[in-house]
Amino acid sequence: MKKITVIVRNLPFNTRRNAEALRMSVGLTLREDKVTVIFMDDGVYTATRIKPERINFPPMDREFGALRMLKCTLLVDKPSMDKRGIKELIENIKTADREEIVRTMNDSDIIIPF
Amino acid sequence: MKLGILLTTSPESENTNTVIEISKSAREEGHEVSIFLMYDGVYNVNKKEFAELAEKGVDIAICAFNAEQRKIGKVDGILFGSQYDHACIASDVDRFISFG
Repeated sequence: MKKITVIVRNLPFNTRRNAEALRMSVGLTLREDKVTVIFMDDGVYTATRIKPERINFPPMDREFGALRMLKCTLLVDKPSMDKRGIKELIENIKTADREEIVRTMNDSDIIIPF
Repeated sequence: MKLGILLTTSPESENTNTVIEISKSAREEGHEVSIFLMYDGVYNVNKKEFAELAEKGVDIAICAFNAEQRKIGKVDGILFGSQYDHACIASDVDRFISFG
């Protein structure tokens, strides 16, 4: 079993890129590998209670739901949250300090920045 | 050695040329190479260099879902697959490189 880490770093609006990163993460579980998704830099907005449907943009509820159901670890980089004044995240996402983020990356067999 | 490559950017990105050159060199050294194209990376499927890589024995798969979204038709020698094919590549290779 491999440890695969996907890193989401971009703003969630005006692109399907972040949703695709989550869909890809769901797909990566199909071979029983352990998948972790890290949200950092502007990617942390993806893990907040945003309402993209208000700008006619599809929400990512389905992707997040699948990742939770598959018990994937979802981590948000705390320094990135603090820098942006973000206090609240969606359910089942863990806030991680930089040390834990680095440790997770170091332990990974594959890292996919998306 | 088995090398896996993920490409998620469209052909105007310098990533395309890097992927082509790495794949070509790896094949010349006798390594197995598998490429997965998804998101805007699926636009690379019509580049002649990718057809040439396929002829040289590089396994190329594309996310059919992304290809259909972008109205990209099937191409000989390239597997129109799914995220399962990507999972297999990631799981089976010795080294994996992502270009996005």
